[in-house]
Amino acid sequence: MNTLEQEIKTLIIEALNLEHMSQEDIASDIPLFGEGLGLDSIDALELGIALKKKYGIELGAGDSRTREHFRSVLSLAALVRSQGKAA
Amino acid sequence: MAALASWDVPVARWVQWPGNGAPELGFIEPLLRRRLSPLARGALHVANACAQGCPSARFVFASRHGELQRTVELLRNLAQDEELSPTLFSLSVLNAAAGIFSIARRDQAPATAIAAGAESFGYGLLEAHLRARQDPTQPLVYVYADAPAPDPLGRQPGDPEAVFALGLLIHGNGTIRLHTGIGPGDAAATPSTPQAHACLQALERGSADWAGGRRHWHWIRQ
Repeated sequence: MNTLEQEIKTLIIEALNLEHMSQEDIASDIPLFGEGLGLDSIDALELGIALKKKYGIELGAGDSRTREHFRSVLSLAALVRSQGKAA
Repeated sequence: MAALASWDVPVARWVQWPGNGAPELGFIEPLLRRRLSPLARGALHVANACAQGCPSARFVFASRHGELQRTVELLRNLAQDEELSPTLFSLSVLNAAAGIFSIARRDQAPATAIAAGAESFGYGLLEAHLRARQDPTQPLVYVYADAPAPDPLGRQPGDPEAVFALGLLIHGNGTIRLHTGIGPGDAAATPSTPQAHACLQALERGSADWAGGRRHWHWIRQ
Protein backbone atom coordinates (compact mmCIF):
# COMPACT_ATOMS: atom_id res chain seq x y z
CA MET A 1 0.00 0.00 0.00
CA ASN A 2 1.26 3.42 -0.91
CA THR A 3 1.12 5.67 2.11
CA LEU A 4 0.72 8.98 0.28
CA GLU A 5 -2.15 7.63 -1.80
CA GLN A 6 -3.91 6.36 1.32
CA GLU A 7 -3.36 9.74 2.93
CA ILE A 8 -4.92 11.54 -0.04
CA LYS A 9 -7.92 9.20 0.02
CA THR A 10 -8.47 10.04 3.67
CA LEU A 11 -8.10 13.74 2.86
CA ILE A 12 -10.73 13.44 0.10
CA ILE A 13 -13.16 11.57 2.35
CA GLU A 14 -12.78 14.05 5.20
CA ALA A 15 -12.64 17.29 3.23
CA LEU A 16 -15.62 16.33 1.09
CA ASN A 17 -17.73 14.63 3.79
CA LEU A 18 -17.94 11.36 1.88
CA GLU A 19 -19.63 9.80 4.89
CA HIS A 20 -20.82 6.82 2.84
CA MET A 21 -17.28 5.90 1.66
CA SER A 22 -14.07 4.41 2.98
CA GLN A 23 -10.54 4.30 1.54
CA GLU A 24 -11.28 0.92 -0.06
CA ASP A 25 -14.11 2.46 -2.10
CA ILE A 26 -11.76 4.85 -3.88
CA ALA A 27 -9.52 3.08 -6.39
CA SER A 28 -6.34 5.07 -6.94
CA ASP A 29 -6.98 5.39 -10.68
CA ILE A 30 -10.74 6.02 -10.66
CA PRO A 31 -11.72 9.44 -12.11
CA LEU A 32 -12.70 11.70 -9.21
CA PHE A 33 -15.03 13.98 -11.15
CA GLY A 34 -17.99 13.28 -13.39
CA GLU A 35 -18.11 9.59 -14.24
CA GLY A 36 -16.30 7.62 -11.57
CA LEU A 37 -16.57 9.01 -8.05
CA GLY A 38 -19.08 11.63 -9.21
CA LEU A 39 -17.62 14.67 -7.45
CA ASP A 40 -18.69 18.15 -8.60
CA SER A 41 -17.24 21.64 -9.03
CA ILE A 42 -17.77 22.58 -5.36
CA ASP A 43 -15.75 19.48 -4.42
CA ALA A 44 -12.95 20.62 -6.76
CA LEU A 45 -12.76 23.98 -4.94
CA GLU A 46 -12.98 22.30 -1.52
CA LEU A 47 -10.25 19.83 -2.47
CA GLY A 48 -8.05 22.66 -3.72
CA ILE A 49 -8.30 24.32 -0.31
CA ALA A 50 -7.56 21.06 1.51
CA LEU A 51 -4.46 20.40 -0.65
CA LYS A 52 -3.21 23.92 0.01
CA LYS A 53 -3.73 23.53 3.76
CA LYS A 54 -2.11 20.12 4.04
CA TYR A 55 0.65 20.20 1.41
CA GLY A 56 1.08 23.90 0.64
CA ILE A 57 0.17 23.38 -2.99
CA GLU A 58 -1.00 26.49 -4.85
CA LEU A 59 -3.17 25.78 -7.85
CA GLY A 60 -3.70 28.61 -10.31
CA ALA A 61 -7.31 29.02 -11.44
CA GLY A 62 -6.10 29.50 -15.01
CA ASP A 63 -3.64 26.61 -14.95
CA SER A 64 -4.63 24.26 -17.73
CA ARG A 65 -2.89 21.36 -15.96
CA THR A 66 -5.18 21.59 -12.93
CA ARG A 67 -7.80 19.39 -14.59
CA GLU A 68 -5.13 16.72 -15.20
CA HIS A 69 -3.80 16.96 -11.61
CA PHE A 70 -7.33 16.45 -10.27
CA ARG A 71 -8.05 13.41 -12.42
CA SER A 72 -7.45 10.71 -9.80
CA VAL A 73 -5.76 9.89 -6.52
CA LEU A 74 -2.70 8.78 -8.54
CA SER A 75 -2.36 12.11 -10.33
CA LEU A 76 -2.87 14.02 -7.07
CA ALA A 77 -0.14 11.92 -5.43
CA ALA A 78 2.19 12.73 -8.33
CA LEU A 79 1.39 16.43 -7.89
CA VAL A 80 2.11 16.28 -4.15
CA ARG A 81 5.40 14.42 -4.75
CA SER A 82 6.58 17.00 -7.28
CA GLN A 83 5.31 20.23 -5.68
CA GLY A 84 4.16 19.57 -2.15
CA LYS A 85 5.98 20.38 1.04
CA ALA A 86 6.34 17.49 3.44
CA ALA A 87 3.13 17.27 5.46
CA MET B 1 -59.28 40.17 22.70
CA ALA B 2 -59.89 41.52 19.20
CA ALA B 3 -58.27 39.37 16.58
CA LEU B 4 -56.07 41.26 14.14
CA ALA B 5 -56.14 38.42 11.68
CA SER B 6 -57.27 34.83 11.52
CA TRP B 7 -57.27 32.04 8.96
CA ASP B 8 -57.89 28.32 8.62
CA VAL B 9 -55.80 25.76 6.76
CA PRO B 10 -56.85 22.20 5.91
CA VAL B 11 -54.17 19.82 7.25
CA ALA B 12 -53.91 16.34 5.78
CA ARG B 13 -51.02 15.22 8.05
CA TRP B 14 -48.24 16.53 10.22
CA VAL B 15 -44.81 15.19 11.13
CA GLN B 16 -42.39 16.37 13.80
CA TRP B 17 -38.65 15.90 14.34
CA PRO B 18 -37.14 14.47 16.48
CA GLY B 19 -39.50 11.55 16.08
CA ASN B 20 -39.09 7.79 16.27
CA GLY B 21 -35.76 6.50 14.96
CA ALA B 22 -33.30 8.06 12.55
CA PRO B 23 -34.26 10.61 9.88
CA GLU B 24 -35.32 8.91 6.63
CA LEU B 25 -33.29 10.61 3.92
CA GLY B 26 -33.00 7.76 1.42
CA PHE B 27 -34.77 9.89 -1.19
CA ILE B 28 -31.65 12.06 -1.36
CA GLU B 29 -28.67 10.54 -3.13
CA PRO B 30 -25.58 10.13 -0.91
CA LEU B 31 -23.48 12.70 -2.80
CA LEU B 32 -26.14 15.33 -2.10
CA ARG B 33 -27.00 14.09 1.39
CA ARG B 34 -23.43 14.26 2.72
CA ARG B 35 -23.49 18.07 2.76
CA LEU B 36 -26.63 18.43 4.88
CA SER B 37 -26.50 19.97 8.35
CA PRO B 38 -28.43 18.39 11.23
CA LEU B 39 -31.00 21.17 10.74
CA ALA B 40 -31.45 20.41 7.05
CA ARG B 41 -31.66 16.68 7.83
CA GLY B 42 -34.53 17.28 10.26
CA ALA B 43 -36.28 19.65 7.86
CA LEU B 44 -35.96 17.31 4.89
CA HIS B 45 -37.07 14.28 6.89
CA VAL B 46 -40.37 15.94 7.87
CA ALA B 47 -40.80 17.48 4.40
CA ASN B 48 -40.45 14.11 2.71
CA ALA B 49 -42.72 12.36 5.21
CA CYS B 50 -45.39 15.01 4.60
CA ALA B 51 -45.03 14.81 0.82
CA GLN B 52 -45.50 11.02 0.61
CA GLY B 53 -47.84 10.28 -2.29
CA CYS B 54 -47.49 13.78 -3.77
CA PRO B 55 -45.25 13.67 -6.87
CA SER B 56 -45.36 17.46 -6.94
CA ALA B 57 -45.95 19.80 -4.01
CA ARG B 58 -45.39 23.49 -3.45
CA PHE B 59 -43.01 24.11 -0.58
CA VAL B 60 -42.79 26.80 2.08
CA PHE B 61 -39.86 26.71 4.48
CA ALA B 62 -39.61 28.87 7.60
CA SER B 63 -36.73 29.19 10.03
CA ARG B 64 -35.66 31.90 12.43
CA HIS B 65 -31.95 31.19 12.19
CA GLY B 66 -31.68 28.93 9.16
CA GLU B 67 -28.11 27.71 8.63
CA LEU B 68 -26.69 30.34 10.98
CA GLN B 69 -24.21 27.78 12.34
CA ARG B 70 -22.58 27.72 8.90
CA THR B 71 -22.58 31.50 8.54
CA VAL B 72 -20.87 31.86 11.93
CA GLU B 73 -18.25 29.32 10.90
CA LEU B 74 -17.58 31.26 7.69
CA LEU B 75 -17.26 34.51 9.66
CA ARG B 76 -14.80 32.84 12.03
CA ASN B 77 -12.75 31.69 9.04
CA LEU B 78 -12.79 35.21 7.61
CA ALA B 79 -11.71 36.70 10.95
CA GLN B 80 -8.78 34.27 11.06
CA ASP B 81 -7.81 34.97 7.46
CA GLU B 82 -8.56 31.40 6.43
CA GLU B 83 -9.92 30.21 3.11
CA LEU B 84 -13.71 29.91 3.02
CA SER B 85 -15.26 26.53 2.41
CA PRO B 86 -17.29 26.56 -0.84
CA THR B 87 -19.59 23.89 0.61
CA LEU B 88 -20.34 25.96 3.70
CA PHE B 89 -20.92 29.02 1.56
CA SER B 90 -23.26 27.40 -0.93
CA LEU B 91 -25.41 25.83 1.79
CA SER B 92 -25.44 28.71 4.28
CA VAL B 93 -28.50 30.37 2.73
CA LEU B 94 -31.98 30.17 4.25
CA ASN B 95 -33.41 28.39 1.21
CA ALA B 96 -30.78 25.61 1.19
CA ALA B 97 -33.18 22.93 2.45
CA ALA B 98 -35.87 24.05 -0.02
CA GLY B 99 -33.38 23.80 -2.88
CA ILE B 100 -32.19 20.33 -1.88
CA PHE B 101 -35.82 19.18 -1.54
CA SER B 102 -36.58 20.35 -5.06
CA ILE B 103 -33.43 18.78 -6.54
CA ALA B 104 -33.81 15.44 -4.73
CA ARG B 105 -37.47 15.06 -5.72
CA ARG B 106 -36.99 16.48 -9.21
CA ASP B 107 -39.97 18.70 -8.43
CA GLN B 108 -40.04 22.17 -9.97
CA ALA B 109 -43.06 23.36 -7.97
CA PRO B 110 -42.47 26.81 -6.41
CA ALA B 111 -40.64 27.05 -3.08
CA THR B 112 -40.42 29.97 -0.65
CA ALA B 113 -38.16 30.43 2.39
CA ILE B 114 -38.97 33.02 5.04
CA ALA B 115 -37.68 34.15 8.44
CA ALA B 116 -39.56 36.37 10.90
CA GLY B 117 -37.73 36.29 14.22
CA ALA B 118 -39.35 34.40 17.08
CA GLU B 119 -42.60 34.38 15.08
CA SER B 120 -41.07 32.61 12.07
CA PHE B 121 -43.33 29.59 12.46
CA GLY B 122 -46.53 31.65 12.50
CA TYR B 123 -45.67 33.92 9.60
CA GLY B 124 -44.40 30.93 7.66
CA LEU B 125 -47.80 29.34 8.21
CA LEU B 126 -49.46 32.53 6.95
CA GLU B 127 -47.32 32.38 3.81
CA ALA B 128 -48.22 28.70 3.39
CA HIS B 129 -51.92 29.52 3.81
CA LEU B 130 -51.82 32.26 1.18
CA ARG B 131 -49.92 30.03 -1.23
CA ALA B 132 -52.22 27.08 -0.65
CA ARG B 133 -55.31 29.24 -1.19
CA GLN B 134 -54.15 30.14 -4.68
CA ASP B 135 -54.89 26.54 -5.69
CA PRO B 136 -56.45 24.45 -2.88
CA THR B 137 -56.64 21.35 -5.08
CA GLN B 138 -52.82 21.07 -5.13
CA PRO B 139 -50.81 19.99 -2.08
CA LEU B 140 -48.43 22.28 -0.25
CA VAL B 141 -45.75 21.17 2.20
CA TYR B 142 -45.04 23.61 4.99
CA VAL B 143 -41.88 23.00 7.04
CA TYR B 144 -40.58 24.94 9.99
CA ALA B 145 -37.14 24.00 11.34
CA ASP B 146 -34.78 25.64 13.79
CA ALA B 147 -31.80 25.01 16.01
CA PRO B 148 -30.71 27.25 18.87
CA ALA B 149 -28.61 30.20 17.73
CA PRO B 150 -24.92 29.21 17.91
CA ASP B 151 -22.28 30.96 20.01
CA PRO B 152 -21.36 33.77 20.29
CA LEU B 153 -25.05 34.71 19.98
CA GLY B 154 -26.30 31.79 22.04
CA ARG B 155 -29.79 30.43 22.44
CA GLN B 156 -32.45 33.13 22.12
CA PRO B 157 -35.83 33.25 23.92
CA GLY B 158 -38.20 31.09 21.89
CA ASP B 159 -35.43 28.96 20.34
CA PRO B 160 -35.78 25.19 20.68
CA GLU B 161 -33.19 23.43 22.84
CA ALA B 162 -31.96 21.35 19.91
CA VAL B 163 -32.87 20.83 16.26
CA PHE B 164 -36.65 20.80 15.96
CA ALA B 165 -38.75 20.53 12.82
CA LEU B 166 -42.48 20.44 12.18
CA GLY B 167 -43.99 19.70 8.78
CA LEU B 168 -47.61 20.06 7.65
CA LEU B 169 -49.21 18.78 4.48
CA ILE B 170 -51.77 21.43 3.57
CA HIS B 171 -54.26 20.12 1.05
CA GLY B 172 -57.90 20.90 0.24
CA ASN B 173 -58.85 17.32 1.12
CA GLY B 174 -57.26 17.54 4.61
CA THR B 175 -59.74 16.54 7.33
CA ILE B 176 -58.25 18.71 10.10
CA ARG B 177 -58.97 22.42 10.07
CA LEU B 178 -56.20 24.29 11.82
CA HIS B 179 -57.36 27.73 12.92
CA THR B 180 -54.78 30.47 13.58
CA GLY B 181 -55.64 33.76 15.25
CA ILE B 182 -53.35 36.74 15.88
CA GLY B 183 -54.11 39.41 18.48
CA PRO B 184 -52.28 42.41 19.96
CA GLY B 185 -49.19 41.44 21.93
CA ASP B 186 -47.70 42.55 25.20
CA ALA B 187 -44.43 44.34 24.55
CA ALA B 188 -43.02 43.06 27.85
CA ALA B 189 -43.62 39.40 27.02
CA THR B 190 -40.69 37.24 25.98
CA PRO B 191 -41.38 33.81 24.50
CA SER B 192 -40.63 30.96 26.88
CA THR B 193 -41.19 28.18 24.35
CA PRO B 194 -40.79 27.87 20.59
CA GLN B 195 -43.86 29.09 18.73
CA ALA B 196 -44.08 25.88 16.72
CA HIS B 197 -44.47 23.89 19.95
CA ALA B 198 -47.75 25.74 20.60
CA CYS B 199 -49.12 24.80 17.19
CA LEU B 200 -48.04 21.18 17.69
CA GLN B 201 -49.80 21.17 21.05
CA ALA B 202 -52.98 22.45 19.37
CA LEU B 203 -52.75 19.73 16.71
CA GLU B 204 -52.33 17.07 19.39
CA ARG B 205 -54.66 18.35 22.12
CA GLY B 206 -57.06 20.88 20.59
CA SER B 207 -55.81 24.37 21.30
CA ALA B 208 -52.83 26.40 22.51
CA ASP B 209 -51.68 29.99 22.97
CA TRP B 210 -48.30 31.61 22.49
CA ALA B 211 -47.21 35.09 23.49
CA GLY B 212 -43.94 36.44 22.18
CA GLY B 213 -43.99 40.19 22.47
CA ARG B 214 -45.13 41.55 19.15
CA ARG B 215 -48.27 39.45 18.78
CA HIS B 216 -50.41 37.00 20.70
CA TRP B 217 -51.07 33.84 18.72
CA HIS B 218 -53.55 31.07 19.25
CA TRP B 219 -54.23 27.83 17.45
CA ILE B 220 -57.34 25.66 17.49
CA ARG B 221 -57.73 22.26 15.92
CA GLN B 222 -61.25 21.96 14.46
